[in-house]
Amino acid sequence: MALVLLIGIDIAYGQHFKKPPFLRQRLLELDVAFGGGALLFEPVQSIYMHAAFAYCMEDRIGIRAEFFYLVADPNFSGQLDQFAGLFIGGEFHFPAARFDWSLLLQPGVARCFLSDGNLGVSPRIEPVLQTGWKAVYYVLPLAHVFLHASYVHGVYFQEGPSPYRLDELRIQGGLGLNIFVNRTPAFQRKSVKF
Amino acid sequence: MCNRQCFQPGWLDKALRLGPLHGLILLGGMCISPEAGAQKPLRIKFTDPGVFAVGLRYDLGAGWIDSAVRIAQGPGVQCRLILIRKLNLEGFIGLQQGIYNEAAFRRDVLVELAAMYYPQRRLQRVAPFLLLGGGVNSVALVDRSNLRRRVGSQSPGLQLGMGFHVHLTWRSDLTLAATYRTYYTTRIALISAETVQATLPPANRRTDGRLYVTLSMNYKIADLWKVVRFR
Repeated sequence: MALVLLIGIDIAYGQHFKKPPFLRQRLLELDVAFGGGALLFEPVQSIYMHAAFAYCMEDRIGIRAEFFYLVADPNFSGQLDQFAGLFIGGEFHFPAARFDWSLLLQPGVARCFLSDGNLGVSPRIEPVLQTGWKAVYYVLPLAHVFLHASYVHGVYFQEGPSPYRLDELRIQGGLGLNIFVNRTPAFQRKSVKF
Repeated sequence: MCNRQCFQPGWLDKALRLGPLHGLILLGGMCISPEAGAQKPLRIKFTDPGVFAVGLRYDLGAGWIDSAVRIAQGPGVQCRLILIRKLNLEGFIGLQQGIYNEAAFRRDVLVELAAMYYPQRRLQRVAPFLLLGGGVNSVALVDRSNLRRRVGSQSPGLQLGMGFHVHLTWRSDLTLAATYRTYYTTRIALISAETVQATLPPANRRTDGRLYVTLSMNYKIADLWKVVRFR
């Protein structure tokens, strides 16, 4: 019985993934997400709001720009008062039918401020780097849901004699819109003649 | 299924047919897409001279200052142009920050140009290269106890290194490189309460040298030798 069930699952799985993947080049995505993070070198957990824009330039290669904003708790000592930033980077996809999972590498900049350390100092811009893993399911032709886990690296250097490490594990979940744009065949250009 | 050869309606047809919102999104896609306005095929290989690429990078630099390893890091943008089969030209602008010593941190804005030489006879999926270049560094030392107190200078420099590309597809690659950069800067000192907190270059050294590890992602967007024709 178990063998029959396994064979049935195998056939169903095989047939399912014989379909061409939904994700292919020229797919434009707009995402919103809500997530949390835990700083690795500070005893602090954070809540974030995310918004992202992604575009598939090739079937498996895309670019993704992601904005994040820390929902700070003013009564929580030790947490950054302000932390918002922008990541821009590449995305490598592994699509299968309506699923897709991808690896991300995104350099970026963040605007940080911690009032406990340098009173009266305005927020500073710090370089940050995010590497992540994202799983997507395209529930509708125009909509998808996703889960995104990432590691963020950065240092808030100005903060006191010892730097405030921004290294953090984050997880976010959200939904988004997707649409295929620009149906012009790939690898074609218009010649510019002088 | 319609393949690439058959007729496909243009973006304007779709915009008119599908309504203003869809049309607006399509227009946005046209603006951001490198495939906009296509007519003639472009077959890009790893080695084609004239191929122009843009990319994003992240630099991680380590220097030996005051008997300690100090890290400076930051993002940057770059572009590449393959001049001949074995020679690539790379230019980048980067912003880096890091602790300089106990009293100061440094902020660098780098503008550099480098030549990359490929020893392989024919470029393959993994392509090692040697790198030689030069550039200008605008460096500032900032007092960590008072961020308004800072000194800065601009200095020319050289870089030497090696690395490799991993071509993920015909058009995109991931590059890892290790370079040593040295800058010939005029000596500057950060003075606080009549005490020298930090000097650049570090004491007993003439130049400001650091070892960098760079990770970058690049995407080939155009074949300039084919796109631009002088007749």
